[in-house]
Amino acid sequence: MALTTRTALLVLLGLVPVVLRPAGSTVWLWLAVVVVLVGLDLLLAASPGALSLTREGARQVRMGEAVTTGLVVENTGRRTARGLLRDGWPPSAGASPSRHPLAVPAGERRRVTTTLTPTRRGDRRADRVTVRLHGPLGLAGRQRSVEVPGTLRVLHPFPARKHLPSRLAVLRELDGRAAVRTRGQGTEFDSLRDYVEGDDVRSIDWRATARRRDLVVRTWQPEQHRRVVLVVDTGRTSAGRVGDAPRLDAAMDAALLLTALAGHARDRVQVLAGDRRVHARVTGADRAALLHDVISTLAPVDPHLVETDWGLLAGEVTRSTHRSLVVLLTPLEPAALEEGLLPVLPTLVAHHRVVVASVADPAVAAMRTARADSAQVWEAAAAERTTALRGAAADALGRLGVDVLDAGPDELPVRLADHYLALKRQGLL
Amino acid sequence: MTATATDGDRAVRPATADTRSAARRVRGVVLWALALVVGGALIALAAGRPSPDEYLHPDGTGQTGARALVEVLRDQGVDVEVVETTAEALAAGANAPGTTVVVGNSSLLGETAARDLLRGSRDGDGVVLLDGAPQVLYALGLGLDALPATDDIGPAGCSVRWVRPDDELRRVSWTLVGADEDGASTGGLPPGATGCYEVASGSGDDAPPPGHAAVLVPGTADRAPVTVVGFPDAATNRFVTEADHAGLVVRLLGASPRLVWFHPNAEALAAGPDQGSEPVAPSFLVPATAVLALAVLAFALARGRRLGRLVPERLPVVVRGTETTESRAAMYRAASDRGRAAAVLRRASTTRLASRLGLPAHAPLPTVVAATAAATGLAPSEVDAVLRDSVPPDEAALVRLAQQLTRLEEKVSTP
Repeated sequence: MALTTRTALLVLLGLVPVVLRPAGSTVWLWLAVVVVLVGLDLLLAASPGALSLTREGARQVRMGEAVTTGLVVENTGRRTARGLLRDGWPPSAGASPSRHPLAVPAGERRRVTTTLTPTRRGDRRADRVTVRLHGPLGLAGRQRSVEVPGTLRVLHPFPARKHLPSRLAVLRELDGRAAVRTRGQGTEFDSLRDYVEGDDVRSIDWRATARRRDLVVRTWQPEQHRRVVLVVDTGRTSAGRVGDAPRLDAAMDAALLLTALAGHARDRVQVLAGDRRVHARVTGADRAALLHDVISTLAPVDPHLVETDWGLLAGEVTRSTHRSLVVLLTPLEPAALEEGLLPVLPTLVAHHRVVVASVADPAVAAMRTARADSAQVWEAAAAERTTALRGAAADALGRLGVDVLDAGPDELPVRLADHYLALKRQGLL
Repeated sequence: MTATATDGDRAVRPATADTRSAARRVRGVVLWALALVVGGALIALAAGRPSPDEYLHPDGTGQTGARALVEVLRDQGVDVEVVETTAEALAAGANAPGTTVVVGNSSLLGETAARDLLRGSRDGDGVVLLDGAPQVLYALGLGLDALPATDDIGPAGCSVRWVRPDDELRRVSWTLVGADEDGASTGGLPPGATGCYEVASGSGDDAPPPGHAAVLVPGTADRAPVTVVGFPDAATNRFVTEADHAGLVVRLLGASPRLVWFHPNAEALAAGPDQGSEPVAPSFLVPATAVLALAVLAFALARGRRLGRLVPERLPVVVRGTETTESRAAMYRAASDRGRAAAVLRRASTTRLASRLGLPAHAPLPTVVAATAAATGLAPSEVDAVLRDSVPPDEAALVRLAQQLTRLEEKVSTP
């Protein structure tokens, strides 16, 4: 049950009888009148239990965009349901409006639409839906909360996707050249098809021709199915915020751009995200669905405040013995790298091409150059020290034969994509 | 520089500074509370005690108080009781034979209080109005009025118990004349009244007839005899020893074994008219207040009911990526390790210069100095002074060094 402010006004109206008949009993009589009216209103209000609620609407949205989620309210009772409805969502789901007026005649259904503008990546679960139905006098209402399950997956905004068209153009150029250079050698069997004039007679499959009694040629295609493994570190060092988002988001941005690019280049992409355990694993079998799968799987992955177990992640990578391009997306934190990553790198480097991509903080670069007063100079010295330590860590990795990319959150996806294209151009995959 | 050093100190020990300032805050609050309590108690004491200069107050020790007179009366064996309201005066036995009631400062005597006092003390020995001011006389309806007196004071000229023929009187404030119901002067005293000390109220031809400095109005069935005195200053500490004042007022007030000194206060004045039967507040005040309270309660209940529970949410950890760097800067600064900071800055600049000038990353310093000097056109010694390790003597030197390094790098990149 819930009262409305109209009840308070009704009580206030009791001033009139009290002035006309100033006695304590008048107050009690008026209170009794109010209580009776409220009780009557409650009795005459529609029952919230007679409403059946069904959720409909979008299941996922890219962060920064708005989406609507609907509730279909069906009144199975015999009275018109009038009142308020609140669709409870967590604050970061950005639900608006927070409460809806409701008027559903008996036996009819109405749709209530809430706009969600999420402010954070991840899964948002709808909380209870609360319905408060007022009586005909509007003095009191019956209230009930019910679970109407619903989940909205807020996807990574993937801002680096704007760089994809230009990189794909580079890739197509590369493919043409690579095809010219590698025709007739180092190729893989693709399929059989009927012979058409102009085909190379050397590619006729005589055995199949004998079975079909038609000329059949084998088709070949250049080696494309290179394996690319993207390892996203979700350990404690990825929780540090660069600008407004954690480093992990920038690393994911880079991973998504490379996934899209490598998918178009017909490479087999595998994405791993984990720290002490693997939180997400996507193996791209279907090229068309790959990017979507990766975005969707990475959406609920958040940084964890644990030290990354590189032995575990390296084990996941080396499960397949194929030579792969292994991209480790982890911040260059010297201490964490020395303890965790350096010991497992030699085995990885022995079998795979390893690239470490790290999100640098532009704020450190800014601290490095600002030298106006003594406080800034102390910070500049500290920033120089941080930069030097990162440089030393990068050097140590480089000596092991690892390519190190260290760039700010905006440049890193482009740098990584360009590095991939350069490797592909040189046939180093 | 000292300012920066203090800044540094503050940055070093934030925790200690916090606890210290917290302790100081608590101490401040306690001191303020203590001061408030003590001050409040003092004010309360001062408010409870009358001002020593309050006019004709029996406990007043100032120039205008009447403590001296009361002490003398007590020495003479008169039982003096001080009251502040009519009810207290009646309770103190104003109506008993052998008791005189004296009204000192009558400026705060309300009309109702005065009438009640007169009626209530009708069986007593008498009522003395020390300060026969016009407004109180009019209120009492004794048929008397008071006019401002001049210094032209005649001899006693009357046979009253407390006046001796040769008593000299000064400081007369009011001269008392007879008056009718409307307050118009009648020129003579009311019937049966005795006046002493003829005093003129003005000079010249159109001056009103002279009145008296003291008038005794005999008692009736409704009230005790009333003595109205027009020389209140004579009873004050300042003037009581002047002329024959002391004898006059002591004889006047010391006639009975018991004296009730009625000193009306502001409360008595305020409470005066309230003794009537008509209430100020309307009768529906209490029930209306109850209705208002109920309405507020209903409003609180209506607004307090939530439309569904609060939705909790797990929030992500917020760690700034620059936190370690900032902490390192704070540490350098706390330790004031200028040597370390200078070395770090120089090494970083040297490495960048080397790479920009095409030298190997770990080229020896003299090579870098020579190449830099050649590229910028500066003297090698000048470049060497910037790049060679030395501990800056103070923070200003460190800042200068950092800025020199920046300029050097800028010169190399944009010759």
